Amino acid sequence: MSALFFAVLSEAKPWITKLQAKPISHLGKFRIFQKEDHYIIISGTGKLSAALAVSEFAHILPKPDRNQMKIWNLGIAGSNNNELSLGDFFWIHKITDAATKRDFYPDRIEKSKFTKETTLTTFDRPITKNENSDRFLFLPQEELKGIQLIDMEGSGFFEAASLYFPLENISLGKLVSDHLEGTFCKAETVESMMAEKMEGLFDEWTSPLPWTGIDSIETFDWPLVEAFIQNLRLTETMKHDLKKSIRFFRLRNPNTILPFPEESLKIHLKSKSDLKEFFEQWRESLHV
Amino acid sequence: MFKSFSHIYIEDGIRDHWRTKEILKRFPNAIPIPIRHYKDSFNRNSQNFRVQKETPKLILAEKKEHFLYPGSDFSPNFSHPHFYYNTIALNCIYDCEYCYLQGMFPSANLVLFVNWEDFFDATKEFIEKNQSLYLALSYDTDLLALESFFPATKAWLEFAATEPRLSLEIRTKSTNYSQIAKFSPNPNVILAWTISPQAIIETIEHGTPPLHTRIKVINQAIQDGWKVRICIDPILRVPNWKTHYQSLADTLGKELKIDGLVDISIGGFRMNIDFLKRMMDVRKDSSILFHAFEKKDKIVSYSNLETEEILELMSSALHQYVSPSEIKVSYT
Repeated sequence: MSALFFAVLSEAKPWITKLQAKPISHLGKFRIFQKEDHYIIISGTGKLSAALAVSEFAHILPKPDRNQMKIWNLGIAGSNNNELSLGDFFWIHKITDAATKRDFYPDRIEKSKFTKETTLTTFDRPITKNENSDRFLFLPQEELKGIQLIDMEGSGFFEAASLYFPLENISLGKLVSDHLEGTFCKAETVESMMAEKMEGLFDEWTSPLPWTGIDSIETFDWPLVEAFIQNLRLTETMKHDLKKSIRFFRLRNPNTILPFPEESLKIHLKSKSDLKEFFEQWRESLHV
Repeated sequence: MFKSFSHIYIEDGIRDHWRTKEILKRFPNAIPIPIRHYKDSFNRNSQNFRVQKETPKLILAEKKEHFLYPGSDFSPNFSHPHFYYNTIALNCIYDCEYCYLQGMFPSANLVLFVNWEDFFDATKEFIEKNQSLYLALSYDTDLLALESFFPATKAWLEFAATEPRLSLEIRTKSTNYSQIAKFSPNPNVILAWTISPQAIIETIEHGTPPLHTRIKVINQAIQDGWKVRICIDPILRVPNWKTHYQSLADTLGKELKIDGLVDISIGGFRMNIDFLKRMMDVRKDSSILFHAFEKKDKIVSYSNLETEEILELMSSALHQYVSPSEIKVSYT
């Protein structure tokens, strides 16, 4: 399963086309496109929008699905570093929120065809290093010192995503779109830059996370046990302890049938002490 | 996945420290990531210890306080009045299923503190005040295992040579003895090797050196004149555990220069209950963590009967080769 967040449609278009994703019908504010287990979400610009889009998307999925889901934010970013070429793609290993000065550290775990990494600073307004621009916030060089890439969504996306999704499943990647000249990129330019990088990234995005998998005890053994104990009035603590014992047995005996007490013994359980004794004997049989 | 130490987080305050630069030289391809404080990265919520352990990163930092901690109740103090440990590194390159670090730390990344001189100063100050100190040096890590890029063990041996009132215990599973072999043995330093039956090393102590290579370097250290302690701790009730531990005792009796040992420390599995709960969450594939332990206060351990059985078997097996006075029980 995978989800990909973009700020604007021009960034998302090549991906939507390649995935052949269709808009889903839902009650929320944000546009969500889906094809099978893969989702593309358009948040709009700004960190608040990015965070809200993550939250809205997270709420349409059950937690087990979220835990298995790769969640990315891709988009364009301005660069203060003239050594970074237009169209270069970078994975982000540190995000600084310029307004709050908070730092966030996406884990870098999976290798990528794209090997470059850098830091990202998220501002609340578009930034320029040229003084004569009224639609951008001018920042002098001393304030831009040490800043590599600049966007308007990264910190909002990451902070919200880390509330709903496992940290290790979250990644951000940014394309260098300008060097803070104080002009907005044309939609066609953004689309073609993104289309070029998508060719290398698509398979990485759609491949499953290597660390997710099914827990055979939860999936196969425990449902059988739950069916057996449904009329037994075990306390939550007893169920918890029983599950640990079932796990112990299965790990020690991967190919053996799980031992259950005789079904007929259940009718003789007249008191709490009968139940307790029955329960303890069963657990003992699991710790062999 | 990235290989180990593909990324190195570096605190801004020690970016130009000479020791930071030395460590970075060892990892020329690693990607440096500047951080303000190591806890900003290491203490983040919701980190996945198991996933991080597959591709651990380094964090280089400065320790600003707490250069000495009183020894844990879970560890033997060997009757010393001032038993302390320090944490010059956090986390370990090995991956033992029973290791308490995976329940104690939120991250599997390895923190290395580079300001060793501050540790030395604090240690000197303590000794001046208390006249003696028994310091466990390799506590929340395996320091000797890091020696090739973090040569702290050498530095502490040099320091110990100047402080006769300091006793050090350097505990390890590594076979990096060659890194310190050139030092003259110091009677105030105990090199302590944790060993286990080979079957347990293979299935539970992931990434650690095999038994026979550990025995080989232990023998070398004894021959060189070092005080050496053997720790068979924790003893684990795995399937056929009696056979495995009897066989371990026999191997030691045959292959180890037993006469040169200071003592053999033995103990059963025990753990802070909160650590074990976290470990069971992150490591659902390890049967040893799901044993029906007994709980007493905040400690989980094998039952009294099981613990007695373990210690009795191990003691009896070792008595064939070692005098009873040389066997110390580290926890009952």
